[in-house]
Amino acid sequence: MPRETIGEFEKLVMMAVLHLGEGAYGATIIQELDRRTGRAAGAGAVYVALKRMENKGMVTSWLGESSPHRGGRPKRYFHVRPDGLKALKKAQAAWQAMSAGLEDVLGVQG
Amino acid sequence: MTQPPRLAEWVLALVLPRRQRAEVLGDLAENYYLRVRHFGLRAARLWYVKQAVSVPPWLWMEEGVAVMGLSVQEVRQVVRGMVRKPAFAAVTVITLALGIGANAAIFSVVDGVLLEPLPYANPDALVSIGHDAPGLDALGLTSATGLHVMYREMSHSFEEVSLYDAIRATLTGEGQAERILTSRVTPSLFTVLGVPTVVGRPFTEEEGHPEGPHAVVLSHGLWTERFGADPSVLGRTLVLNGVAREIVGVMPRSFAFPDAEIRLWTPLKIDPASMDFGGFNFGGLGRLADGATLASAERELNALIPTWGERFEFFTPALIEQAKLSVDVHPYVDDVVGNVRIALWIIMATVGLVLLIACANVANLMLVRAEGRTKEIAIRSAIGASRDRLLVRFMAESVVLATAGALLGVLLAHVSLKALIALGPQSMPRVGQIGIDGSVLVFVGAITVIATLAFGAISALGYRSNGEAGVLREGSRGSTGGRRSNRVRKLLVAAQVAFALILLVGSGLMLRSFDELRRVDPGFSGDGVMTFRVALPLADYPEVELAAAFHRGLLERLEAIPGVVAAGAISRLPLNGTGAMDPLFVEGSTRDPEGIPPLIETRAATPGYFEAMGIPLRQGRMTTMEDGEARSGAVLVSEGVVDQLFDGRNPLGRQVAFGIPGDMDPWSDVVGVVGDVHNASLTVEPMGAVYFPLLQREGVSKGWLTMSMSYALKTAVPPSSVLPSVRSLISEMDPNLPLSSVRTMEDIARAGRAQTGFTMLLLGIAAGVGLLMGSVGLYGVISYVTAQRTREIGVRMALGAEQADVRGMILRQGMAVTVVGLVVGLVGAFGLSRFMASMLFQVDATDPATYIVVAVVLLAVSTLATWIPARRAARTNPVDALRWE
Repeated sequence: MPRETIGEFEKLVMMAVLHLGEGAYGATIIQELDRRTGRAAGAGAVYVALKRMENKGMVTSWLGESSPHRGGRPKRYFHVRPDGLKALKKAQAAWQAMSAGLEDVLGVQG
Repeated sequence: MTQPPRLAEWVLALVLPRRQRAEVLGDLAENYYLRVRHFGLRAARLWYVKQAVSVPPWLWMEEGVAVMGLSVQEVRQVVRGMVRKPAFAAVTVITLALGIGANAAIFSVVDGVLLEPLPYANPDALVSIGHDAPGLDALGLTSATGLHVMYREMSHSFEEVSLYDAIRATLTGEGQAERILTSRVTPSLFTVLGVPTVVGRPFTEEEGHPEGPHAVVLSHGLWTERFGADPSVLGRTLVLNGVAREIVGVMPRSFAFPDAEIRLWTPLKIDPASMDFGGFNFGGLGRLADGATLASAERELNALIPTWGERFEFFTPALIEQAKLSVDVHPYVDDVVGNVRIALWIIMATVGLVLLIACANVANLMLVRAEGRTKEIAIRSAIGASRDRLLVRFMAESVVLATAGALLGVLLAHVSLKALIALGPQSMPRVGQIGIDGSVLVFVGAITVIATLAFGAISALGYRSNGEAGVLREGSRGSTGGRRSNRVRKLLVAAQVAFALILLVGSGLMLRSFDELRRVDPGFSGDGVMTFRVALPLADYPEVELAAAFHRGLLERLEAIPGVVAAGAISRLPLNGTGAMDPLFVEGSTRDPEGIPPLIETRAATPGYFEAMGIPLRQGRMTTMEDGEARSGAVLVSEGVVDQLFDGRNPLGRQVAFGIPGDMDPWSDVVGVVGDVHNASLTVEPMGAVYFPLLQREGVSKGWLTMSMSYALKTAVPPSSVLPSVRSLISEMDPNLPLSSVRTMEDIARAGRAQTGFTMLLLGIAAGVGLLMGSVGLYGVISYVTAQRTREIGVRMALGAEQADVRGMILRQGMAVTVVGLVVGLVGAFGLSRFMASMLFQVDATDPATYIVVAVVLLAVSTLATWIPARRAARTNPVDALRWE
């Protein structure tokens, strides 16, 4: 049972990783966040969020191959671990519980 | 495919943590290309640069925390722990802030004034060329036009040499008449300094020739104020001292040679063909050639001295030998900062000691805290927290406290720096360079780290010796661990006492120096005397008779102002540095005719001057205005002349003259003797002076003294209230004459004491703070140690000890620590104070009176600091004490 909590921004980052599946590495995560939320997240914040989640055991990473179109530099890929998914689901449930009945005010589906 | 902005990428590569460098750079590059495609090159570059700035701080914060093995949560816990015990955190942070802040402020000054290189090309190669003639008691002579020509021709040690001076001149035309400070320089000066003009050009060799055109180079300030920084100013003319000069160039804003007040430069006109020596009237500045050193250059120039006789008739071999002439080549920077260098380093050492005292206090506080948490530590250990993690947490506390202290300290330094500069002596060189810049912050970072390690280590020591198994048992006071950390604490306090004593000795010595300085009798009475300077331009007053007539007329009018008690004029006021000095000959003297007699100062003065300044007439009569008008040849001499040239015998009726053998002035008659005056400064003993009237005997070459005179008005009313009348009188007589250098004699005297006074103030503050911190530290430790012995005291009292006995016991303990510190401090002060010797005046660095007084003061304060806990201990109720745990 995960004992750590997940922060707001960390949730967004984790969801970006989930969206990207196999192709989730630094650059694409940043792009995905940008694309979906419309706010350009600072690269620094993203890296820190990923690192913290890794420390908490919610996410795992490994170094992939380098490619010429990155100036010959490797990519670090990220993958959500079961503990991380549980934390996200818990947070989702909390959100849904709280927002039940507030659809009119919030203007969104739960 | 375009590359990301090269510079930003390069900086990132340097600055990113090693582990993440490659992947981050790769990610950023990929995103960069994407943005180029979607948003265009410019937007992409902008984004990249923004990331380059913002990403590293994020990663380093995580990294830094990771280095200590703390998670963000643990750091938050540490901070929360501080907030819960605000008293401890506040005292620690403030103590550190005082120590670090003081060091930051003083280091800013040291860095700006002493460490920053001079703003010239390759400043290490800039040297001053001076001369000494100890055989004539003349040291620190500068350079001469004849020597400049000779060195330029014959020396290989210099890439180029130059001359310069600083002299006031009257600027007219294009606006109001103004008296400004100007500098006459050889055209080679700009080559030597290597600073290009912002507009136009520097002087040509032709302009440095006597027949050449009259040119002028403006300072940035003058260019901005008078010409609105108009670049088309070249070719226009300025009138300086009645001579029209063409503006050929403007210097940059930062150029301030030789002084920040210089408003323009004019070319020094030297005829290389003439073999005129010229007199030691100009500063010599050279740039060493590649491969030459100070020593080799000095050797080369010294080797030339025997050849002076071939060029300059005056320097016969006998004279050269008698004068013991030598050349002195030293770094130019010494001339700029030399007089404050020692004082600044001493002050730096002083605040360093204050920081040590502060750290000792903080260490003690942390030890106390560590002991208070002994049980907490033991319990945490028992349930599994790693010992090392707890140690790391203590280090984290040290880091947080030190960082807070450093930040607050930098703020304090920033605020106090402004006050420091305002209070400081006006003559502090390179004031513009003083400020909290990168190097100061690096310094603060360094001392913060050292301080953190120091007291972190000490408190870790204390923790180690306390965390042993026996702690969990009840009644564990008096364990060996506790005793060991007590010893550490007492040692720290003894160290504080020693440091405080050194500080007190230093400031005590400065205090006595300042007092001695105040007591110097300058030879005149400056109370209520207002001074100002009036310079008559040669163009309007081409003959000295016209100048003399002006001064006479002005003095008559000045004396008529209500409130003016006496008015006089003198060519150069006292306390104004060394002025013109020449060898003085006495008629019929039995001195060696080949030798050079002592150098005596020359002045032109009206009788009212002596009256206004309270300079007494010792013998004979005062010269009068009629003496001047009639050119009677009467002169006054000072007591110093009587001692040096007349062997103390009566000089009245004898005759004196300046000049050199073969070119002597006509003799003048000594009609009176006046008191000696400190003409150079308060610390330099007066040498003799000869006072001419406004007009001298025909043929005497001292008429130039009369052209520009300082006036001294003794007033019965506040000096500044007569100023408007003075101004209107002068403009009535000549509307083109500016009034300059308006100061009271008191201000001038005060300026002479300014540096000593300022140093005394700083050292005094440091000593006061050090003493306060030290005594608080002593009080704290004695209180704590005594509290630990409460039970023991209870037992003793129950067994019959009197209150006095208990008091005595505690006092003895405190005094033991104090005495150890005192002895160490005395030895230290004795050894270190000789570094201060050059800053002291009329006081020995080992002055026993100062040491004794300081030791007594420290003993008294320490006794008080120990007395209070002793008294408290004596009042212990034995019953409560025995119950206490």
